[in-house]
Amino acid sequence: MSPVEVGDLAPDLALVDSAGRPAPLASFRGEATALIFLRHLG
Amino acid sequence: MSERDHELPGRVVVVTFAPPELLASFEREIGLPFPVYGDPDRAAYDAFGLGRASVARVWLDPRVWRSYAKLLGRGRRVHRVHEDTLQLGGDVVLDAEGRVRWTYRSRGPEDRPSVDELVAALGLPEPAVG
Repeated sequence: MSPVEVGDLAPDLALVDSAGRPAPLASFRGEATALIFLRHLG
Repeated sequence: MSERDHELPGRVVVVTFAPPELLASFEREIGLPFPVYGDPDRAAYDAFGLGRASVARVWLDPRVWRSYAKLLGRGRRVHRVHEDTLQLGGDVVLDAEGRVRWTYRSRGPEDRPSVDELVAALGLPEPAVG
C-alpha cells in the first residue's frame, strides 16, 4: 500500500492513549496537529 | 519546544510503537508537555511511510554515534534496548480538516527535522528571539 502523501486525508485508523482507549486520527480534526513518531522507547 | 508551547497554533502529539502499558510511565519519566499515544501494531507508522533502517545504518553509521555522543554529553543515560531499534520515526502535520500538510520521514536514527521546521509546518511564524 502506498504511503499517505501531502494533500491526502489522514488514514482511517486509531492510536491508543495511555489508558488503552482508542484515539482515531479523525479525532484530531479541528486543529492543526503535529504527530511526532518516535523510535524505540527502550 | 516546551517554552514555545503556548505559542503553537496547533496541537502536538507524540506517537510511539511501544506497548500501551508503557505510555503512562514514559509520560511521567520524560515529562513531555504533549500527550503520548501508542501505535503498537505500527499501522500509522506504515500508513505514513515511516520505514525501517538497516542494521548498518542504525549501529555502524558515524552520524548515529555522533548523535548518541551528544546525548550522553547532555547527561542522558544508556539503557539496554528491548524494542525494535530499526524502526525509524518521522513527523507528520495534519491540517484542521485532517489532510496531510507536511511529512518528514527520517532516513536514519539521528535524522529529524529541526523544531523550527516543525513549528513552521504547523503554521507558526518564526518566534522572536530574546
